[in-house]
Amino acid sequence: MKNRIKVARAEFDMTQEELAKRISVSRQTINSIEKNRYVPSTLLALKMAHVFDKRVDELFLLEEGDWN
Amino acid sequence: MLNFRFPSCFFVIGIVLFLLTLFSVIIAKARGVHVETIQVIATDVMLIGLLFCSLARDENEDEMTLPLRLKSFSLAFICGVVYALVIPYIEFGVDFIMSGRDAALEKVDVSPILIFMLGIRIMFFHTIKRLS
Repeated sequence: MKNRIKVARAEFDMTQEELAKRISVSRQTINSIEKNRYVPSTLLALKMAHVFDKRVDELFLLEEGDWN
Repeated sequence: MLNFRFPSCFFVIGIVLFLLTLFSVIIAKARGVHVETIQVIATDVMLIGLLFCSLARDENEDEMTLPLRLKSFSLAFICGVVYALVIPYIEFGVDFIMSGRDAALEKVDVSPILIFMLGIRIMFFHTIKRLS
């Protein structure tokens, strides 16, 4: 699964630290999500979608391999 | 139970306990004090210190912390098993090089602990799988 968190952050001119504070997680967690090392929970994905005023499926996208 | 944590200050308390005990034993040995009895207690205190550290709440605890903690516990567990298997042979090798034929293969006395850990881990795995 890939995500567009970094792009959304850039659109909002927001740092990882700022986003982390908004959704009450650590900056390392945001970094891990952006680098696809960690898949966030539904709750966290919804929080991020709310912050960026987007739908969850606009931020997180399934890839071919995810169906196997 | 899986979410049990000590407050984050326990990390510092654990480190202090561990280091203080370690240095006390080193100083006692350097001064020629008979440390065998102290060493038994010191090992327990050091273990308690390390347990405090590993169960202390992270300063920035969030949803990513739990899988990381679980991963590190399982890695530690695997390392523990490998350690228990390999160390006796290393000690035997060193003994053999140093003292020749007198070397004896001695098992590290952690087998009961490891067997217990394996049993608990398997039991928990199946219980959690059934509950989820």
